[in-house]
Amino acid sequence: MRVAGVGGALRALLEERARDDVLVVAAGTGVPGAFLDLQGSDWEAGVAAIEAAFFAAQGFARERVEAGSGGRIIFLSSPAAVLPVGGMTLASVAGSFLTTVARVAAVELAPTGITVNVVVPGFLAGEADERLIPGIPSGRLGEPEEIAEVCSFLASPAAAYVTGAVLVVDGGFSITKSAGGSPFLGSGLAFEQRCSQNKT
Amino acid sequence: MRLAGKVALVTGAARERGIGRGIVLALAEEGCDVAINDVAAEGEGAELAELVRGLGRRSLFLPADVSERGGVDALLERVLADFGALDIVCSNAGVAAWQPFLEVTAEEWRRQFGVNLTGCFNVCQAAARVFVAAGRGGRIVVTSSVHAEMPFPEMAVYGATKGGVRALVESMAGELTGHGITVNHIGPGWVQTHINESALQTDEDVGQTLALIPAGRSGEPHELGRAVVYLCSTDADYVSGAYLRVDGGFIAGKY
Repeated sequence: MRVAGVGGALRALLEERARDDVLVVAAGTGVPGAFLDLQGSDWEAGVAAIEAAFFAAQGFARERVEAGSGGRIIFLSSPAAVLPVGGMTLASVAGSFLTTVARVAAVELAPTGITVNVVVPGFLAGEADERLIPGIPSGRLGEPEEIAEVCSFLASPAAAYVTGAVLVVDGGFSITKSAGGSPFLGSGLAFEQRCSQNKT
Repeated sequence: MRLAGKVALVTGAARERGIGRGIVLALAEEGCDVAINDVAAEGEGAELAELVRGLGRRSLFLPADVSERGGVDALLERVLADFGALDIVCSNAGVAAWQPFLEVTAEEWRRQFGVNLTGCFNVCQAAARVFVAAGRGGRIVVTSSVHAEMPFPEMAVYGATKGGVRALVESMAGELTGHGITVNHIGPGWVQTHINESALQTDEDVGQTLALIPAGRSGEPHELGRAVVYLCSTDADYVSGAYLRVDGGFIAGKY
């Protein structure tokens, strides 16, 4: 698959799946931190990543329309776009922005045979803080392979009728509030205290 | 009067046929002093300030471009200097354009993102810092749109900025409500303002649009203003991170 704005182990897994008619695109998670403390430069960097993702998708869509044989665009969002997560304002804004773009593009591009969907990867092993685990109903971080498999499904003929959808792959994290807070707001002690309070 | 003694700033509020004007007048009718901001429309802004003063409230027109942080910081300083306090901030400034996804230009993307999202971030963060420093709580209300929850063709960027506003409001609410600052957004449906002028150019356009609205008519700016009054009043002390759709049933039905 073609990939834009995706990093880490997931990028390699997606690139291994060779498909020129599929683009997986992300805008990153932005600089973590409290809303009140976000600097103008942090915001601008986040905006630049969102803009790059938008135009990567647009450019790819134009190519596929020109080719006349359909295609697949998959935007990667964030659990913070489904349910606000403290200290993840930029991830939340980026994910929500691109989710709406995906849904509008899905409607506009459907007649061309291009589907546009959103995958929400949860917190992944090798990247995310393990202190989040008590807040994840599945009791573990996700594996990048699990995200790549969902992308493969959306790219497959079996998903030809899926467009404008948002597939959340996060072990149940964003369904409800359970334990925990956010490691990005510091005070891991407060996080752990809340975890133990919820266990009693 | 539900907002007697309060001071509010409303951005994007000068235009004669705008939701911002509806918000300004509704706040003023409930006893609020109002600072009116817009990037242009100085004549209309001055006239609106005069109207508000005629209601017995203090009011000034203060121009600034919300997409520029320096200007926003100076705007907040001016409000504090001229009014002595700030209790309510309505981030209302917004622009829209109808462009198919494949034809969106970088220029148009940046214009809409700059005002609708960066502008919202600039105004709300600057206001939140003022409120936290003053230690008296506050009210932030953002004008989003029905686009925040339902996308429409040819409005990928506008709709996405409103989806982003939803995320920003919920993020802010999670962090600021503990400081006594509630943060909410309102979702206008079809309101006959200048922002829609390019889309509704014929009676047929208007008729087709109104046929989609269960209420059978477009909304009035003043109705959005009344929703803002509610969210700024003590009746809404426990409302934060919420979205109040004011659309005559547009999203709920009918097909």
